[in-house]
Amino acid sequence: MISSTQSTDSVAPTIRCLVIQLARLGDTLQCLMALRAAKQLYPQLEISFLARERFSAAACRVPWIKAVIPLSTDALLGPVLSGEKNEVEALADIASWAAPLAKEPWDMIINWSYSEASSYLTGLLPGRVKLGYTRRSDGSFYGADGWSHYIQAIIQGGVSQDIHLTDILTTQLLTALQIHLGEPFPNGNAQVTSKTFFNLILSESQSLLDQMDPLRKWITIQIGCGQESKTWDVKNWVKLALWVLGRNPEHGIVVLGGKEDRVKSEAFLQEFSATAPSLVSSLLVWVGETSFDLWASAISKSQWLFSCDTAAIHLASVLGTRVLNVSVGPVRFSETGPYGNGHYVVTSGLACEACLSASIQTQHTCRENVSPEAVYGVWAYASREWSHFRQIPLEKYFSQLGWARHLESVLVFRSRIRNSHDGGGVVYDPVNKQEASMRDWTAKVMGHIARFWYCGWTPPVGQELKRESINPLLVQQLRSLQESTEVLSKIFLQAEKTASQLNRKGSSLKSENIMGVGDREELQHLGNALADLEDLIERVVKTHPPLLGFFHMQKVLMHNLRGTHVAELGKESASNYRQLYEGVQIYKDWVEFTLKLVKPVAVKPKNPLLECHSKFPGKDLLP
Amino acid sequence: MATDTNLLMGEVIEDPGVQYRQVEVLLANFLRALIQEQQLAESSFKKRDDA
Repeated sequence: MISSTQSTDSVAPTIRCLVIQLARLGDTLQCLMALRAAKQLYPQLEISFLARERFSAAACRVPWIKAVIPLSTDALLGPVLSGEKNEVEALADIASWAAPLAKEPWDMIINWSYSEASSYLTGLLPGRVKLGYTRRSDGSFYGADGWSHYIQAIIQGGVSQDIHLTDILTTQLLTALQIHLGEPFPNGNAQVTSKTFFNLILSESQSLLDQMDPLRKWITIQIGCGQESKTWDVKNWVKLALWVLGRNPEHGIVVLGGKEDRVKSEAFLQEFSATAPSLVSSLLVWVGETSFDLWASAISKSQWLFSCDTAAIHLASVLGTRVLNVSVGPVRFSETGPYGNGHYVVTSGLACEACLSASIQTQHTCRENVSPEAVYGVWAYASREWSHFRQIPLEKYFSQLGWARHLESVLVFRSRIRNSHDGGGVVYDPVNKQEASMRDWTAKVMGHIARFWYCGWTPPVGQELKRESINPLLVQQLRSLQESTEVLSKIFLQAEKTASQLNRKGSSLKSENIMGVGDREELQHLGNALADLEDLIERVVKTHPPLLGFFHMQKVLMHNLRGTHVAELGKESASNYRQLYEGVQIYKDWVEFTLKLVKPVAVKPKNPLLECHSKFPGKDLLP
Repeated sequence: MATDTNLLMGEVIEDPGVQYRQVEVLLANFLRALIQEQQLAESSFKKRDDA
């Protein structure tokens, strides 16, 4: 239990938290959403936020964050990389930077960076409770909690799963807080996202922002993306902008981007002006000149943001601006897509070899499969939801536009926050007709298993799986998995038994250092048996790659054993194998459920004469 | 809840002031890992520019 310092201005004792986020701005924004939820439920949290200096602006504008600790990688690493300083000199600099952080133990250190570097920092700072990646006292890598194991094994292990990162971070923190601090302050229904999330300072940028005429409906386009493989071609953005402004004169468009996007924005403006000079007055291009404050204000004042996989979609989510996410390239939008209700995601519906191999090379065919007509059509449908209440199928809407073929190559999703009695969290519902791939199916199953492992709530098997999405290829793949899941289940059960034997044997020993030959041989035998079972798991998974998640989880769980004695290690291993066994049981249930779902059902043949009779009772229709 | 709360509570350290005696080693590794990350990021940006 955390012992905490008494605050003078609040009833509950203050809990000093250090949140470490050394990744990019998009990750920072997702963390801020999770922290906002935690701060609302546990107002006694005093949050300090550690981020790279160039990505710290967002945290600096959040009023409920006590302090932002910038890590200036340019100042600390620049001299080493340029050869001006050696590592020993740089070590002195980084020690001076870290010293104030280590002065007094933190009540909680939450490492949300999920990187190797951050694990060393978390390991060396004093804290009473640590979450995320850290280091053991011997310096070895250590995932401090169950969700960290899941992130390492499943998300970073490249296995499909469908729980959004914001939901993972929120659940991870709130569960730990509940364990350590007890029940939360009753403020659970407060909004996490809002236009006033940040205290923005606009003194210098106000004149630019004033150009956004309040009588117009504004759309922001984030033109670039951190990775070239995730960007959409400038020509597509131009076409989309032309469709929007040409057909909707009440709208205006603001084009946003960083300094690195200037070439793109120049190409955009050139082509747009050449094609439709009369529409240029409805266009604002602020690429390369936007501070965080102006960027956030422009998105906040807009009704929609159009963007690929950028930090802007998280910023819009935080600010409550609707997002149309053009999700192309190696992106898993179910983990990092726009958060909240009513956002749309348009992604390629055709297989892309580069995506399947998670390549960052630029030859992603998926980028060409999403046409500007498809994106415009989806936006037009989404922005008129008030008129059709989503009662018109998207396919029909596209037919009316005369663009049915543009919809054929894309998948469209709409985001929704589930009701708390359905487990909460964001889910992306398909809007057009879609066939589930093995990856989609696995994502749903892994999400279910994670909720079973780490949440107090388990969804029903097959929840959100639509019968019409199941196709012959998926059925064939699932049938081939039936036997291997059974085998895997038996292996985990046997491994649990063997580990329990190891625990019992270890407990019966008077000493682990001095023992009889028979005892030593027995321990050796049990250890070898476990090693053999692990080899067997690897072989099963190699034959059936959809089961890879279990192999990764087994490796991570075994690496993170906490005990130091044979008995403890045996007990923990048994518990881990039990966890994996239960996971495989859920997997098996899903396979059975899905195969049953597509089985043809015998329908009682209708008797037309009897039907007529029921319509006209009292009249004898028989000859 | 399927797993025991030990898995969800994070690492609990009774006496955080004296937990680690290898601060210098961890700090040096932190620095090295940061340098590696930076070099990796720079090389991927270079690849992007080349492309």
